[in-house]
Amino acid sequence: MANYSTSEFRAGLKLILDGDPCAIVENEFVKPGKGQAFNRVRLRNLKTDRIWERTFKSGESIEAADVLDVDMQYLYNDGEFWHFMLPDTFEQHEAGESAVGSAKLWLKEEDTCTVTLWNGSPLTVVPPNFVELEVTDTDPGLKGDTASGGIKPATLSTGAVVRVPLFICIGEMLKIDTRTGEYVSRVKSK
Amino acid sequence: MTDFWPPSASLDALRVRAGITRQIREFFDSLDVMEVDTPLLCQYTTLDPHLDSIQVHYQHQLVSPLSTPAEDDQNLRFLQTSPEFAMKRLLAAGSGSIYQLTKAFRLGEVGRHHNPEFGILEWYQVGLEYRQLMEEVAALVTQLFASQGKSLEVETLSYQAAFENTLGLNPHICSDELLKERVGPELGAEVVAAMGRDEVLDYLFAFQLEPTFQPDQLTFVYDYPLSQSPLAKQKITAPGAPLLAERFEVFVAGMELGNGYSELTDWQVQQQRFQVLQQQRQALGKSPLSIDPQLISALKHGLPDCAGVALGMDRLMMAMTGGEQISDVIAFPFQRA
Repeated sequence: MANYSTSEFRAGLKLILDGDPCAIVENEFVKPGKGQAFNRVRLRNLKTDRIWERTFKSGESIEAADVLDVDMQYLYNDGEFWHFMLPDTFEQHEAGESAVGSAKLWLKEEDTCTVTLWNGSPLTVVPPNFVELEVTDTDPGLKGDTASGGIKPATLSTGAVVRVPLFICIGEMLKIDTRTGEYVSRVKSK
Repeated sequence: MTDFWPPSASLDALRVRAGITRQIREFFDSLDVMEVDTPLLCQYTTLDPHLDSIQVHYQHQLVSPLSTPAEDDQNLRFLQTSPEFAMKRLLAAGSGSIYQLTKAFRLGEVGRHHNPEFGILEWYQVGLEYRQLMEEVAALVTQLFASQGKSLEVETLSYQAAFENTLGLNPHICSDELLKERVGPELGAEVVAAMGRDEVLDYLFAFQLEPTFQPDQLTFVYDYPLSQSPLAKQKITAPGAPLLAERFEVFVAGMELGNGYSELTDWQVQQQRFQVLQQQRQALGKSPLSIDPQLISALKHGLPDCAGVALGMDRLMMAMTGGEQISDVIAFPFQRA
């Protein structure tokens, strides 16, 4: 099993701590006088997304996490698992609810997502920054009202509910920023 | 990749730095302290278990199958971690009080407050003891700050008082268990259990005491445990009292700025302390290093009673210019060197 020494610590490095994969967010080298040096580290637990603060004696070695980010195409949801495929090898991976998390609101078939694999299994799924989704339900649109600035909720094909302008109608395609869950624009029908 | 050709420090910061260097030279000129220059490439280096030296080859590596390991060793030099040994040889030779503005090198020390190659101001005052040298450090640093229009209060407290004020513990006599209880959960329990007493003290000092020192104040902490001061003179205390060294450290702007002490002049005691350091290095699994025979010979010849101190020039500049990281005051730090 590979290990990293504290001297290799840098932002982005992935480690196993208390059995969970973590990524270093910040690493500070602290040395009291001529005494023992320490590395004060902020880490993101990749399973829970929580931030941990830990301190290591400089020179300690910590188990490396076999974690890597890959681009995969989202295929379908079978009711329990979300299925993804590596586009070059067609190798498929299934991700459970805990890995997909809130990304499930933005998953559209054939879209390319960033899937973080830990020991070969999906750990987290990040959807594309922008997705185009169809409105499946919303109050009747006020055609032509593009000026009043009013806002209403709209339900999208994935089940996500977003706040949209009053002129949006059922059946329209919307561009959504998945990082904020906000409406960006209508997509012109092709 | 970012383009790394320009300096990371502003030209204004570099101009301040040039002015400060000039003032330091004037300060020592006025005290009749001689400027000296000692080697960066040395045959011997510190034995401190927590300081590692950068090793370099000074000539082409010997490739002859007839060359012995001893010959290969002769090809090695250490980049000095401080000019202390060489300056003490000058003192023993009768130089009188001396100062030096130079570079020091420490393996693996990279961070917001660390550059593996850093500026150091080190000086020795013959006939002074550590408390008098603390006053001289305070005089120099407050004068330098004043030249930048900044005032600086000076606070002085003992190592013991620093622990008592913050943790309510006497660091010299309280049990290892009590000290270890104060280490937070951010360090693993098994790591804490394996730590030696001085390591625990170092940890508590760095993470729980230092942050309480006022950043806009020059804080002196003095009378360190003797076990943490291998080149310092032992402080005379009552029999049975904790063993202390005539050593101080000085802090400003949330950083350790310098380390000084009354110098140990007894060559036999120094040799014994070096042997203890060699054992500590061995226990930590570090490569063995020889005791500098030139330093021991110089001490045998006779080191005058004196006190010495080293200040980190880059950190001093950070404190004076409000720099957030060491790269704000160095033209070309490690990453751009």
